[in-house]
Amino acid sequence: MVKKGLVLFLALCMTLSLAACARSSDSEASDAGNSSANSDGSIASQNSVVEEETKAPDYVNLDSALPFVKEDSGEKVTLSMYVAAQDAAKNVDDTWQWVYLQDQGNITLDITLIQWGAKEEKKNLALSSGIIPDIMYNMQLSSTDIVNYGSSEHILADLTDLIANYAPDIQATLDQYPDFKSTLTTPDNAIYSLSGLGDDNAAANYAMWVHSDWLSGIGMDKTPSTLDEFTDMLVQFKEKNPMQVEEDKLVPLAGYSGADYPTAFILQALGFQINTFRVERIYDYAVVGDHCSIICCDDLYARYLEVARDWYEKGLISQDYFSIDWKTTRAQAGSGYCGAYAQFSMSTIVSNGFAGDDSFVEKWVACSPLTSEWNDTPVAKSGSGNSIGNFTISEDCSNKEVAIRFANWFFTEEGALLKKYGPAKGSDVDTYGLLDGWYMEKDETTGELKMQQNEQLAIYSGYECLGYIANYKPFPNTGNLLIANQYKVAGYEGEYAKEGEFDLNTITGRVNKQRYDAVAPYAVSGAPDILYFDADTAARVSDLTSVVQTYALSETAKFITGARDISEVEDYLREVRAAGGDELNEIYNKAYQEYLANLK
Amino acid sequence: MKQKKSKIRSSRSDKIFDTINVCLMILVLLIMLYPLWFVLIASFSDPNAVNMGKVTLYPVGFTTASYINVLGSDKIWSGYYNTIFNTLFGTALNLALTIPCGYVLSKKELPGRGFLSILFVITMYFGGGMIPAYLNVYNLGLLDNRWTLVILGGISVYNMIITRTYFQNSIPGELYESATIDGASHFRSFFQIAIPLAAPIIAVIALYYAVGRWNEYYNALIYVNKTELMPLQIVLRNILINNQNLLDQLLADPNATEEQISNQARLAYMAESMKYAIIYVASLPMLLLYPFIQKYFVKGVMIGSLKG
Repeated sequence: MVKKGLVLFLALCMTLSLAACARSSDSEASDAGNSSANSDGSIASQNSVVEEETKAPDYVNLDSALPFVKEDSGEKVTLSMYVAAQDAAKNVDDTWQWVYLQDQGNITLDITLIQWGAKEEKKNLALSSGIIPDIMYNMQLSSTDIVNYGSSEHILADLTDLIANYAPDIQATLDQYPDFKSTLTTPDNAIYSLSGLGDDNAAANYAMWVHSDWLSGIGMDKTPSTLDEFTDMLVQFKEKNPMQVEEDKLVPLAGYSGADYPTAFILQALGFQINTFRVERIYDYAVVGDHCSIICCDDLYARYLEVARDWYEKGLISQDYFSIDWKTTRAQAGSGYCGAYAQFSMSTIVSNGFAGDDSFVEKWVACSPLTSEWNDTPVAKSGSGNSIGNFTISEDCSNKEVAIRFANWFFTEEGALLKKYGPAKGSDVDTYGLLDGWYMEKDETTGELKMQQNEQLAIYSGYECLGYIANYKPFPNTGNLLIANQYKVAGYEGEYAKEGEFDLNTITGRVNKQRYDAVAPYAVSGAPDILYFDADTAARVSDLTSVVQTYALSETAKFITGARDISEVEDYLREVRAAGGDELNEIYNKAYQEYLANLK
Repeated sequence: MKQKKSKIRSSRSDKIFDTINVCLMILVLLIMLYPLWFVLIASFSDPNAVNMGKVTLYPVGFTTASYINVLGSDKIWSGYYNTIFNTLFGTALNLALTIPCGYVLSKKELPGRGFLSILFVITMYFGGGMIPAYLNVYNLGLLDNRWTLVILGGISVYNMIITRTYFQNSIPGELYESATIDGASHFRSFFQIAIPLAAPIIAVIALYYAVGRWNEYYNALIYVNKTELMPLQIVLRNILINNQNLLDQLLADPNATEEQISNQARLAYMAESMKYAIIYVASLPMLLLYPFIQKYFVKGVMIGSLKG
């Protein structure tokens, strides 16, 4: 009897605990629901508070970049952070940057290091669940994340007023570089994230490298400048086989449909302003001529297919173009089976172990972007140094002013250099015993100035996502350059390489100079890499892109390999536009116009 | 007098059948074994040879660089420790929850037995999803806790059903009846009759749970941030991803130096052959243990089935 009672009692306890859990989760859900339902109202009320009082709390230091909280205020401020870190990153307490900022900033950073491999999952989980820390750093939020969780759900704080009132260095940077500001500004005219300001790199494109022995073997003394000349060159590589390569191994232009993507140069020759380094996907958006278009839906794309088909039919590109991988193509280049290869630098072939040494690299000559009968201006889109989503503040953060002061430090001249390399050796900046400090020294034989970096540099490159990253973009108030400051601190003022200058005593310098000379003169800004859409439009873009992408990729492969007759290219254009290409074009054009408007 | 063993002579057709059978089985064995063999020889071969498809039956350009790179990471050993910890304690918890649950649900006289069984089965097909689960774990304060990966996944309903079926079909109810007549309580029946007789199912279920725990990946990815708590699978995944991702990052960084790119390109290139080394590093303990526990797996296939 007693045992029966005990059993019944235990069963009742179990049932009640389940009910209690359900009730508490319901009430939490209803609270969350209430808070989201009232979010507009509560934010409106917060905004009205901000409007009434734009004064920071007394403990926030506004007189200098450091500390963030006044030393004599007695206030203890803790900011929770998610920081995405590479596997090699050290613990927080062993990383100079975090120790320095806590000590000098007079704050506590409660940092959770997120492994790089789990960054996407953790980010999505945090944003979806609403459990986000005060600051998300280096988490690379996408434009869709920012619009969804900033503009729509107000989980991320609007930084516009915070920047205007408390972050003078950030504000000055945004004023100085309107394209950076436009990149960060969402369609509702707010800024929900900050990021790094990098150099626009005119030479950050893959170049088309042509082997000089192959060129001279067919009697050419310089690289081609038009698409027709380039095609003729490839045909002669095939027919004359100047290096006597076995016929079944000879590939005049090596590469595949992935990263080392040679047919992108056809698109450039037609006038598409693409960056061959980024490997614009054919369903991306690009400026072409006097208009903007989804690449695979544009009239000129039919010409691309015709040329690529011609190359394939004549055996000028690999017959396994759509199935081989980068290792095979690089092995082909390294083994001397091809006369032309698209790559950032042919040193990559050596470093991958496919070719012997740097003498291999010196044999290749960079080819400039081509022109064609449809485009008479060589174009190559610059690599943009701007990004988004690397610094956000939670709407629930109770110390937003301190958080924005924290971000502001990264945009100061001193902060930009310290966050890039850490303290210099012999400087009065405390190393906390964690590192020796960087310095520069001249090679006694070559006279080359080399940076002796401290061991944390690898980690800094992973953390370097906020503030000034650009070496050659002047600081707003002083006009100084980051690289100039670096050399000045090292004791070699003015000895830095100016933009476009390279150390010709090194193979790297010579290769970079070649690529720069070949590509930089034709650099254009092109369409921005980042465009914002609201949640509904982003969902629609995603749906349309998946359809257009699938169709365009499959039909492109069919046309190039001959599975579909090339005479049907105009039919293809009608089909892809009807499948959603026209609507995509319209959406992107509208977003692009908004981007241009924000530039003014 | 010693009895001679009677030997049945095989007919000609039997011999032909046996020969064909053996040949087919050898062929199937080779097909099954070759991928394992290939992964082994590829892990000891030069990455270039692997990428060019020159590795077929034996290592080409013998090198242990892949293993050195993988095992050289100090996080590997903490990964092993965490995985062994999670496997041992997790399996113990699993058994402590599954066996009593299966036993209780096997009792026809349990009030609400059908209803409880339905509740369990529902969870096999429907779940709250990732976000509610994450919120649950977060609110319980179990994020970044060593015991999180032990506690989560405490019971597999599939394994519990197998256990229940075993108790129902393999242990006669008369045993419990006679024990009850002799004055045994439910607990005594469970510990002194059911458990000793359930040794086969306990071994099988322990094996299933242990293998699952060893390969555990998803929960660690979601609920654990601290490097010192990462299990082996996450560590290995990070090694691979980091080698590739860092190269992509550097390639996208216009300020990256050629030296940085070259060094990282080398690591990314090595990552291709490291994949094979990682497969063996991750699965070697299980591969070594399997011959000793294989018979339990075979038993386990049929042990939960309905009989009669």
